[in-house]
Formats: sequence, C-alpha cells, structure tokens
Amino acid sequence: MDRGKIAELYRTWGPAIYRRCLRLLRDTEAARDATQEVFRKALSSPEKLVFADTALPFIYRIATNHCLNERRNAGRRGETELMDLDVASEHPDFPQRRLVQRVLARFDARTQSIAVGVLVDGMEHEEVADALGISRKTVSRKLARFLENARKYLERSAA
Amino acid sequence: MSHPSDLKLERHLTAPGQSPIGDHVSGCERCQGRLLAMEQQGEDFRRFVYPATLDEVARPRWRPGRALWLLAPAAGLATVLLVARMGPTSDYVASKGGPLTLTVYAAMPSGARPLAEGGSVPASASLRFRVRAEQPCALVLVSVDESGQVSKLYSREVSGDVTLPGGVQLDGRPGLERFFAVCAADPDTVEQAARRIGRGVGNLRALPGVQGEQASLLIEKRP
Repeated sequence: MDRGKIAELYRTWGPAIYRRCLRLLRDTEAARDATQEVFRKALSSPEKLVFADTALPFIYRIATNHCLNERRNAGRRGETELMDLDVASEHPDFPQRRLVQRVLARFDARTQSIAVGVLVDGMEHEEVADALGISRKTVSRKLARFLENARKYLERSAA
Repeated sequence: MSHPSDLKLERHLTAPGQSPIGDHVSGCERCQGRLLAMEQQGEDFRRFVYPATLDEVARPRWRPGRALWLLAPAAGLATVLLVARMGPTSDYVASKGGPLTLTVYAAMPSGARPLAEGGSVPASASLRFRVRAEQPCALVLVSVDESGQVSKLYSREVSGDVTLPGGVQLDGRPGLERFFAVCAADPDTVEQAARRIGRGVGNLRALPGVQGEQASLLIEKRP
C-alpha cells in the first residue's frame, strides 16, 4: 500500500484508535505509542478499514487487546502503574467505581476484555460479543466468573 | 438511565445524520459532553499524534521471507552502518534558555527555519523542536495559546542535544502561542502550572511555581 493511502486511512481511523488507547491507558504518551502500534496491526487487514461498520469493531478489538496487554506488561516491568479504569455505570454485581489493575490482572486476556467492555465501556453483552468476535454465551459465562471472583478477591483484600 | 457505549458514540461521530442514537444524544447532556471530549481528543490526534507518528506507521514493513533471501548472499560481508542525519542542520541556532535551551523550527517551502522570540509563522505550520540539556532531564514540553488552551506535546527523558521525534502541526487559529520546555522535578506540575497562566502567554517567559530549568519561545500564528 502506498504512503498516500496509508496516510488517508490513518487520518480517518487514527482518532478512534487514539481515543480508545487514551481510555484504556489514561496516559497521552502511552496512548500515542499504542496508537501507531494498533494502526500498524490494523493495516494487516486493510479491507476491514474501508467501511465504518467493519472498521470500528475491528479497531476496538485490536486496540483493546493491545492496550490491556500494555497494562499487564507495565505491571510486569515494574513501571509506574497506569491509572485505574473508571467504571462507566453502576453494575449490581460490581459496585466499585474503579476497576483496579490488581483485580483485572488476575484474569485471562479475554476475560479482561469482556470485563472492560461491560464495566468500563458500558456495553451490552451482545455488543461486546460482536466487537470481540465471540458468542454472547461466552461473554455471559466469563463475565459471571469475573464478577464472582473479583467480589471474593475484594472481600478478602478488605478483610 | 442507560447511555450508549463508547463504540456507539464512535459510530455516531462517523455519521451523525444516520445515527440510531441521535435522539438520545440530542437530549442527553452527559452524552453531549462525552462527544465533545471525544472530538477534542480527535483534534489532539490530528494536531499532535498524526504528524509525529505518520512516518513510523507508513514505514515499509519487514517481510521475513524476502529479507532472508536478500541477506543470504551477503553472509560473511562486513556490516555497513549508514547513519542518516535527522532534523535541522547545525547552522540553525536560535535557542532560548540557559542550561536548557529550546529551538523551534518551522517547516517552510524554502526548508526548516528556526524561529526567534515572537517570530511569526502560518497558523497551520508544522513545527519541530530541538532541546539541549546540560544534565539528563525529564523534559516536559507544553504549549499555551492566547486563549489559555494548553497542549502537552512531549514528556520524555532527554540528555544532551536532542531533536524531538516527529513534530506538531499548529491548529490554524491565528494568535500568540508560547512553548515551554521544562526539565521538571515533578512533571505533573508543568501542565497544571500552564493551565493556571490563562491568557498571559505574551509576557510570561517561565511557568511560575515549577521547579527545574526552563526555556520558552513565543510565536505568532498569522492567518
């Protein structure tokens, strides 16, 4: 793909990638670095970047996976911890207002993406399933396990 | 009350006229606020991130098969390092500051031009920055325009003479804008101090209440 076409795609979808990365990393420098990484990954399937209907869920999925991975790696490397994520709306089984990294880090990558989708982004189960390319049943099952284990962990920590 | 997710708001931004959440958004102050914030972040991307990262994302990618084929006949040969000189040439010197100096270059049709204090550039000009720090420095570079809008441009460790990667594109709005480079003891205080100065960028050459070496440069963005 020539530079002009890449520049055009980057100008079109870069803002959405940057916003997603800012949302998850909460740091402008980290989001800037992540944006270019995510866009380069997205360029591996340029056909998905033609229409908004396919591009946005595709970007959402890649950016979410990449940025959650960055959060995990930052913890492992002992770097300054990234800020905790704000919970978008009240959830009956997750009354906390912040989704803290030490809770998130206890779960596998897919469960983390699901928990962030529902709790941080305020998505319906079906929307999370569509965006991540998994079944709604998987979303419900993994989220239920996340909520139960997170609650137990937070109770133990409080005690 | 249930509000649309970020993903739905992204879809709304791409085609507001056809958005299924248009009715909700028009009557929801919270969602309007979120959309405004998202648009501002998009503007930050276009102004700062895009020009600074385009070269990197457009760089041709390494293809293992092809690269190995090319490397095979070269086995045993000495490695040649080509060092490309990046950034402005050494005859461009228009620095501001003491132990920390800041030089701002504008991309003009005739080539990169260093700016003097109060120098004028087209309101949408592309700029690059060069700093020289006598000691290793946690550099924070921010800009404040005459309306008091603050933009954080760089935050990174620097040492010696460094041309900062990428660059920024000005926002197209005529008026004054001052760039502050700070070797900050506490980087968080720089942006806060910049926000406090409001509209007084013309005469204020250093951010008050910030510990660390500082340098600044005022430019005028002309229509």
